[in-house]
Amino acid sequence: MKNIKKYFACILVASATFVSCENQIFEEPYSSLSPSDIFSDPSRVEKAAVGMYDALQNPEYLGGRALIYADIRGIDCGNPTYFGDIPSFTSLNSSNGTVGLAWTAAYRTINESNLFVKNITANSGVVSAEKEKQFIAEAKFIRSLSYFYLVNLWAQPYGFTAGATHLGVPLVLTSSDAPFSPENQIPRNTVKEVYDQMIKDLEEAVVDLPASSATPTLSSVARATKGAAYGLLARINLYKKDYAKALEYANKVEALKVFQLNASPAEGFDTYITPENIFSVAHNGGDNPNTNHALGQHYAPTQRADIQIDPKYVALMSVTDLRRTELVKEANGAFWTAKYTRVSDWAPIMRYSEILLIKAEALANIASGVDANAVALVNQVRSRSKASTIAPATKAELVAAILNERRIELAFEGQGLFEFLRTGRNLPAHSVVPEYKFGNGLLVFPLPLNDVQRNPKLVQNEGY
Amino acid sequence: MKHKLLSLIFVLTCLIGAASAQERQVSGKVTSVADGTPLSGVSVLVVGASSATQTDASGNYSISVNGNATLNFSFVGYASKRVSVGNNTTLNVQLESDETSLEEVVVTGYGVRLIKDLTGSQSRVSGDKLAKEPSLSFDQALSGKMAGVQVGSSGGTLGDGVSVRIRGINSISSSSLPLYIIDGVPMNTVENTNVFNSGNGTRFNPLAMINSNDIESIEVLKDASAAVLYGSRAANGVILINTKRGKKGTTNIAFDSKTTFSRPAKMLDMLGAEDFMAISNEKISNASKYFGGVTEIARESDVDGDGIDDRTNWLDEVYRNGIGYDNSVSISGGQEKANYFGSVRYLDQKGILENNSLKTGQVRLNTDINPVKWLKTGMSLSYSKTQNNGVLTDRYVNGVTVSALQAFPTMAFSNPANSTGYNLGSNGYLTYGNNTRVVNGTNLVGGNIAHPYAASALQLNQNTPEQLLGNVYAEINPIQGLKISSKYGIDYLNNYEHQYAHPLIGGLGMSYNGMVQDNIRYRNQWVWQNYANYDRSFGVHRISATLGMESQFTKERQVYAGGNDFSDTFFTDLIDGTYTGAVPGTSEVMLWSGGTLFSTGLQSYFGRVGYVFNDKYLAEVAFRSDAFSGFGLNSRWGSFPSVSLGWVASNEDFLKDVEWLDYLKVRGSYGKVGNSRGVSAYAARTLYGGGAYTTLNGFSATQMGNADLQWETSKKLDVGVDFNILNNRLNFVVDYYNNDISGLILNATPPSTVGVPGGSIETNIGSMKNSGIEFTVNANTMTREDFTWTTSLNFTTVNNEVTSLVTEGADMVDGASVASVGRRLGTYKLIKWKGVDSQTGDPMWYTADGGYKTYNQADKSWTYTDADDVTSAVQSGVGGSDAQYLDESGLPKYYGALDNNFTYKNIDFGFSLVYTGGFSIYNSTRASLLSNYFVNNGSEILDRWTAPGQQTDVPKLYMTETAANQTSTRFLEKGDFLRMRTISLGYTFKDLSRWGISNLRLYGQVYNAFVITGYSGQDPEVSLNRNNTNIAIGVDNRSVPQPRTYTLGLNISLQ
Repeated sequence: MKNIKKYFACILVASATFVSCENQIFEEPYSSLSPSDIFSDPSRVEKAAVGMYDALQNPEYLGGRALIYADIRGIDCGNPTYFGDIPSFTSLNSSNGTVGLAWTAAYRTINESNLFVKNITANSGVVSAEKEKQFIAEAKFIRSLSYFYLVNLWAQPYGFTAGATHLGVPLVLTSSDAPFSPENQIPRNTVKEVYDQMIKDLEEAVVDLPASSATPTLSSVARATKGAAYGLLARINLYKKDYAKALEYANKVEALKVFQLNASPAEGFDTYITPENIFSVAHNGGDNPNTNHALGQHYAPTQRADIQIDPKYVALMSVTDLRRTELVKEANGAFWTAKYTRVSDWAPIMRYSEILLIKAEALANIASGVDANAVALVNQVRSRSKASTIAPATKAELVAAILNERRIELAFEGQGLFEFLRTGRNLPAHSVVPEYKFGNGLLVFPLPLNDVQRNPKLVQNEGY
Repeated sequence: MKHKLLSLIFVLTCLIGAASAQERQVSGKVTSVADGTPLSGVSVLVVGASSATQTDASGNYSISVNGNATLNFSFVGYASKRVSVGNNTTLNVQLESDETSLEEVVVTGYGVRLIKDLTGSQSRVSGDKLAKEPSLSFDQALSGKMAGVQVGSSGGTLGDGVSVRIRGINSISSSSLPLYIIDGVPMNTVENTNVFNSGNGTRFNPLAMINSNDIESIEVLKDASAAVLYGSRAANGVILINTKRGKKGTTNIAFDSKTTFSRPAKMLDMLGAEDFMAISNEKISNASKYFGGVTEIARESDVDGDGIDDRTNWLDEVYRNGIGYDNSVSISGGQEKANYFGSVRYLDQKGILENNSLKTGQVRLNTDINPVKWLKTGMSLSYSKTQNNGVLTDRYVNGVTVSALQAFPTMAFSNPANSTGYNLGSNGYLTYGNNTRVVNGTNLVGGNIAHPYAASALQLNQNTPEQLLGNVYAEINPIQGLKISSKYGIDYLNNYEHQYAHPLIGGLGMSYNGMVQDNIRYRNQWVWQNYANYDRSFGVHRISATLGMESQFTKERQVYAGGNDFSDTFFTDLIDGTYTGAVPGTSEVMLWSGGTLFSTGLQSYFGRVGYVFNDKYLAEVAFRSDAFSGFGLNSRWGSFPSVSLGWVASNEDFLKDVEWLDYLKVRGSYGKVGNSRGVSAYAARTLYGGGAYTTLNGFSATQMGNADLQWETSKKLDVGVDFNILNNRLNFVVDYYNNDISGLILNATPPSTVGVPGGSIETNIGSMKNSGIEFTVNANTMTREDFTWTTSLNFTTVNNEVTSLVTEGADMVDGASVASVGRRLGTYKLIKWKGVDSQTGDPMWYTADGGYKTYNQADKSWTYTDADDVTSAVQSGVGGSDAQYLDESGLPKYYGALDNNFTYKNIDFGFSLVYTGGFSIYNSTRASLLSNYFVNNGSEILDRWTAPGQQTDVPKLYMTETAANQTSTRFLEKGDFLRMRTISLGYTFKDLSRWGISNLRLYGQVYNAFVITGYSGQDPEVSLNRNNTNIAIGVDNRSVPQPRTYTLGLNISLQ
């Protein structure tokens, strides 16, 4: 009896020894799907299209920081020390991690669009042809928008050399399956090539993008529409100083007859979805809580309060100007913008007032004298904010007035430094930052040292 | 136990009241030959008669006999003994063990081995050495105990993690922590239970959940031969923790009590109020042209309204004297067929930082039962729960050790006008009184300064980990020498993390009008092992073998929830209806919930065969085969073999006559093991995950996979010698090791322009070498009557060279440190500091071409001076391309320890020194203490340049200027140190057995008594391998100093 028990136990253990549990202990992921799971199902493909905007919302880039960098390197934010060497120029170098994160985030955003196009093309027919075209158009819009900030933050402006033959940024237009392949060591394209690509993408996209809406919705403001593509084309051409094209596209935005200025300049920053907002990167309390990168965190005195605004900016406006009374706050002994007050504020990429000012600037430059329509457009923007109207005597005065109006109207919306670069002006001394002459290499960001090391074809910007 | 005590009383009563019978009474004590411990439960019977008894708890017996009887003493595990009584009335007997395997055995992977048969490199430390130290977790107490094991001390924050490195750092991107096995079962590989702030918030080391009083011994498996049975997880070494078990025939009650008092061992020297004001005004005066001619910003204030100028020593406010109470009781014992060990511990500690405290309770029960001769079963079970009240410190913007260094000594601590009573402004940060914080739109402070005390007093950063660790096993012994075992173990590690931010404190609390974040982490792991061991001698041949399989499954779930906009500061938890969750200023609601879920599996087969001939020649081969679910489908299985040989030369005839040599063994091993620690659950796959864009659901790419991903491979060679000389008075262990690591899993970063999710792909691409010498000597230095002196010295060297990385010519960079091919891991690559121009007070650095650049602080411009001393204006300053490789690394070249223990009669005294050398520390704390912003500074700033001709290393001060403090060799310092780790003095009371006390020791200990170092910061060790970083190994950035701890302790054993 005793022996039987002994051998029984023996057999039990021995058999257990050779039973494999592999099937029980190797589980499929709970939290993710494979690319083939996504691109075989129409509803998942639609969500992958939304995912491109999630990538666009990258906190290091167009979720907010890209706009901030353009402004804190301009003249209206003093020298916000939270951002270290970025606003103070002198000690910024290619090892700066923050700059590296922004560069990486930009290409991450671009890759999400490229990857989407690649996957949807390979699985053509899963969604309707119409939707497929629309999603690809959205991908191109996102790519173009990402390149706009990339080329302006990391390369000298279009007008730096005749024909814009100076170095821009590498154009990456497909998603690589072999990330470590030497084929990915792409050299910098010229600024002209980058602008051409942005324009090509937008011109192709605008055909298939949904129409903009006079009764705006979340999707008509926070996703690409025809109006957003025309608007961005107008801006890009203005930066090229191709005033005819800038005018043409500004007119196309106008011709959509869906956009208009709100009664108050604060409205677009408060409720986000208004007829004035052409395109914004949306945020809410759901997808970006607790971030240190939100515009509201940096700009609002009640939040992290990293960026004050310069008293000289405030002095540009009369005390009754609504942009002074509604969009500037005084707290803790300093001035702050009230464009961003909450952690969930949207990043405003383009508003209708910018289109009016682009059109004004194009008209003013095309005309030989003082263009009356241009003056009217500037006054349209000023009147909305109850500012006094302008009556410039010369073309030069008009152009200066337009640039001044852009500085007031578009402040802290991501074009601060670009305004000087695109017009060939020196960056004036401000706060503790001395004057930087037009063309100084330090006015554009360094390429991250890590990338220059990994890709020997990348030529570093001058001065780094 | 009660029963035992009763029987003791009964026996004593018998002894006193008996002796009335006609028969003679014989009594005595039964002890063990080996160590003289009393044996209880020994059956004593009169041969040929029916009377019998058992020994009591103290080993005493008493039995009636007639005439010249013979007594038979029998007890399991011991040889029976018959003794004739003769005329004696007292008969003390010693029993000898009958288990041949009781020649000393040692726990190894999946079984025990005879020490003399070992061919691998394995070190041991006994548990009582660990329990004596005031460390919260046993791993920190391993410091200095063994050659080849380097333990970085955590700072003075309670529960902080400890880095343990066995024979150098054996990984770059993955974890290089060893595998921990408790009672034969692998533990969870969690280094920090906490997840908030990406692990840079409060940290908690789960190994602190183990009661170090429960540890019998720790074995460290260092080479391939010793560790190969752990295959893919053995490359960083394996630490076996063996908990205490009851001994047959004994009963023991032990009570350990410790009270600890601690102080920060060293604090930074900051400016006082007058110096601070003078320095601050000098900063702005020198730069006044950029600040509208302002020359005065620092002024006296009276914010607290007490009528005198505000003064606060912020370091005194955030540090305090810590105190701790640690009490534990254990009961252990055993009968013939069962033994048990049970313990309870309660610890209550207040740290050296204000508001940092911890309480922990731990219970354990270990039992073994052998109901029949061929079967043994048992279990080990422990449960532990801790309440840790953490404090945010370094690596956190509002951490108390950051803000306490920045806060002005002229600021008030209190402000009656604020409802909290603290000096907080409307933005929730310190207020500045009459100081000028903003000039021309520039914030001179560079941000806000959190109230160092209020930030931790009004807010919560708690975590409550719980761990249930246990295993059950059955072992059958069907034929002689063969044991078949099945063991099932669990490690349930749960952690509840709770963060509360007060609405009146700047940061999250004020942003969200009060905020709570909770995270619950469940990590459940089970392991099932089935294996057979065969050990048998046939004449001069001894064979041992192991064959088995193991399955491990780990599943982790995290559930996260939060809330904000609380109705009242009374509520600091998520209570229904007490918060709205509204985004402040809107009617929109925050989404404060989320979570993660993943699982991993590990399936393994292993085996080993050892052969010993004539106790002289030893040989062993072993293998393990593992499949891990995280790896790619192309490479899921890996094989790990090893071979080792040994020669006990002292057993050879030609050495038998060498008088001074008592023992000599030469051994060598070579094998291949792997490292998969830190590899994420689905690391090899290409994945799409959630990509919601506000209220639109979405999917976006989250990971680019690599189907070839597999373990890091470490080929380990070990050659060692063990020898004892001079009558075993000196015992030496010397090893040479060489680890050749290939297929390092690196987060290979393709050019950023490729835009892969996460920026990198885990790839087996790098390689590295570690080699060195380990040397240990244990000596009975002196033995006289009443006096003993023992000494133990160990010494380890670590040579390291990175041999390949992802992209040729591209280093992996982490701050000032790099992993660079052909260089030591953690080599510093820095711009070289030239010094301060004595004429202008401007800072200068060398450029890569041998010239130097000077930064003209007054007009913010740069000049370049070439090798021919020609100076010209240049556009840009020194940068990354001027950084040069230094022959200095954060990775120590050598380390070790020296222990001395003395006993004289009842007094024992000992001290333990540890030392580490051949490394440098980047003192980032020093750079921040020299800040040109309007913040407090370290006293070094008093050396700043003020007049032409002055020789100094601190440039002229300019408000908000950062160039001078940029990363350069200016802040690199030698880290070598010698620490008096412990000094202890004890007194043992003997002859208390009539009170039932077998041992009573009172002792006092000083931990971290002093440090001898040239390093100027707080502590050269605290930052070493912080957060287990493998590249930026030695960066000191405002960490909490190590405490100096005084312990008063009491051990009592009752038998």
